[in-house]
Amino acid sequence: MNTKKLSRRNFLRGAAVVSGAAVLAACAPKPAATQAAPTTAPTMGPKPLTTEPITLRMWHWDNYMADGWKPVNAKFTEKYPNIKVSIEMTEYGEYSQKVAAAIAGGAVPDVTGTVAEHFTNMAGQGQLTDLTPYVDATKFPIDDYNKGNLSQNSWGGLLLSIPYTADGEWWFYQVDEFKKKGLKTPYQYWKEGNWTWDTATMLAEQLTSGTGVDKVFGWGGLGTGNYFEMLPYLASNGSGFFDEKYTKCLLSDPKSLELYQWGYDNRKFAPGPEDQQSGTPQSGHVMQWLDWSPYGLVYAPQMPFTYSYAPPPASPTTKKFVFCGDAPGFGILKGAKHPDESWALIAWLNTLDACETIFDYTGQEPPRISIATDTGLWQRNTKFVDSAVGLELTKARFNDGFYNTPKTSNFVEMWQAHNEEISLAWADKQPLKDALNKANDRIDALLKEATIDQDRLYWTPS
Amino acid sequence: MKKTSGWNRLSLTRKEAIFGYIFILPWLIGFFALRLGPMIASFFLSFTEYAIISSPHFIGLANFVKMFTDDPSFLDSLRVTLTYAIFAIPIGMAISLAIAMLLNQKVPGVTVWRTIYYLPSVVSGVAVSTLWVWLFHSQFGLINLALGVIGIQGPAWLRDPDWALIALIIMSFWSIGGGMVINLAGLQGIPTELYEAASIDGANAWQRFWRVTIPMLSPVLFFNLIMGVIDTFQYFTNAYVMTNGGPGRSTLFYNLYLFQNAFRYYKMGYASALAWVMFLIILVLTLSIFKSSPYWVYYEGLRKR
Repeated sequence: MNTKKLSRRNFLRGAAVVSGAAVLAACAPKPAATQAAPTTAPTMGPKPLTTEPITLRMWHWDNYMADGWKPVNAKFTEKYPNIKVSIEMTEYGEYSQKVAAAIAGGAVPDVTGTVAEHFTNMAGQGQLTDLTPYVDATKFPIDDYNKGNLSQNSWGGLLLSIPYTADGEWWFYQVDEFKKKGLKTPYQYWKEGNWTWDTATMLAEQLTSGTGVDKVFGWGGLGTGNYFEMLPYLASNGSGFFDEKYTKCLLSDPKSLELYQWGYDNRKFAPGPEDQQSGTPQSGHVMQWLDWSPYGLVYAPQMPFTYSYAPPPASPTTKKFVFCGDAPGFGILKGAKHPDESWALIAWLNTLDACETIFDYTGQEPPRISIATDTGLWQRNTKFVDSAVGLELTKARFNDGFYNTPKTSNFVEMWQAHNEEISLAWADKQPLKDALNKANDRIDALLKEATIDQDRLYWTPS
Repeated sequence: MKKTSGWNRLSLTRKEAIFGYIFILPWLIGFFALRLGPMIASFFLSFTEYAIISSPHFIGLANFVKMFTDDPSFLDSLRVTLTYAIFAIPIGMAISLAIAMLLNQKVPGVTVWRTIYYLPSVVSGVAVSTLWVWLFHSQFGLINLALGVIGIQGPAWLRDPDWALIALIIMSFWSIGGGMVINLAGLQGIPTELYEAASIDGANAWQRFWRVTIPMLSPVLFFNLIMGVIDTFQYFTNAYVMTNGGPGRSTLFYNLYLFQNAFRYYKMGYASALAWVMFLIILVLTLSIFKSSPYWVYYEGLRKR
């Protein structure tokens, strides 16, 4: 018998061939996922859902919201046992990038959270599915939604996502500190009809105390914050970010200057970014600050003080209260594997029962008009801090009006230009008026290259 | 008669070459898929308007025209990056050389000191940036506290547009350990006979440094300079974490501006154009340094000019 020994050289050759083949196999492209055919409007009622076992991927950015969605999704799965729902969270600042990567890679989620700049980016590029056929086919109660909130979720006349809430961004304050100093609260001033920028300044000054490390600040400050904070104040003073026809930016308007001058003059009562770093209970949440209503529930167990709410103060000139027009929603990206089932989940999340469940867990104001201002709903929620005031503010948001985020494809870049110029004014490196003029010019230039959905920005009941 | 297979007909050299390619195949795949492929793609994308989530459409040289005629942020980012390079690179090289010379002494425990000076360059990224945000804190930061001890009121470093870039330049000296180790290796390669000969000829310490150390170390300095230039144009993490380009645009580094265009504004076509301009700038600078090298870099064995 002729046996051949395996030489070292032959062994190495064989190993090289095997490892090369393994690398090639690992790098081989996956077979292209079969894309779901574009969904067309069912002509004879809603299509039946799949009976195959599937998992719907639901993308969002607020971890705490999952507490409310999980029990709702569990009931959805009880009704449709073959459909599971997986909630996947991404931090807000990274959300757009993750969605963009998913679209570019052909691996979009089924149900996609949408808000503000995330929405305009997806909608402006035609990446969201028109939900109108689903609304019509399933007789979705769309009339139970505020038109201004629906506007924030529409583009080019198409409804591209359904709001799951309507946030007002309320003005929080520490109740105990007002009591200690014998001061009337923002809420009390509001009820008297005297809750204005001037009143807020007076309170901020009286609430600010101490120096150096021991300094306690009277208010949260205003300036280069997020646009949700600034835009309503512009509208309150009779200005805005753009004119209603989107032909020009209005930051150079004298009425806009009045707002920024207010923020600028009262910087001394507000913590700067470094003060907020210090980690004291005051940092980021001083006597008066703007925050989202549901955060009240999230923060409540952690806050070392009792707090309540009021609307953002009105311009002393107009005495007009304007809330934030934030109305995040859920949409279906084109290319989603299960668009019909995704719609079924979105519709489920917007049933009255689901809205109440979510409200119970998260304090997220229901998007539906019929229950958003239901006294019983607010009274039943024992976790909400000052639920009676919360109800008043929700009603006020509908009655007084709100200002939506402008629907331009490059709003993120516009706001960056705004922040770059205003931050120099706040650092006393350029006059405030110059900062606003420069920001205005830069934003006007960006407006020329933007894709715009022209719709009202300021929504009032009239 | 036994048939000879095609493989067996190949020469040993050819067979060895084939197996060589198979062994480097993983690297080749990575290079083409992750380096060359994206480079070629970005070259074509630089002539398009491309928002990632929609198809690119061709716009010719519009991105490049806009860059040089209608984008003040581009010029600001170039200015910030070049200013950083002009100060951080030579000062960093000087400090790393000085420390290397100190650590080249034969004193007990010098290896401990070498480790201590090298360790900071191993720690990098977001953790270091966060640490330095605290060091530069205008009230609680150690830097201003130390300045206060000698009667100087420190600035609001990262919050002041006049000081934010200076703060980042100072921070760059944290990672001189890498250059220090390379300089140290270079110093230890200089023949001691040269120093002895110079001493015999009456050269003082300063003259020995300029006439022996620097010329003999010039290849190492040349390498550190090239790497410093390349690293400067890729500067990103610290600016992103600590200042995000602000206040104003005072720390808007080129790479950070490129990132903003690509992943915040979804102008991938414009970002690709920025990337290629950056490549050309680095190429020009690197070639210039190479071109100048015969005048100041000494290689043993090369003919004297």
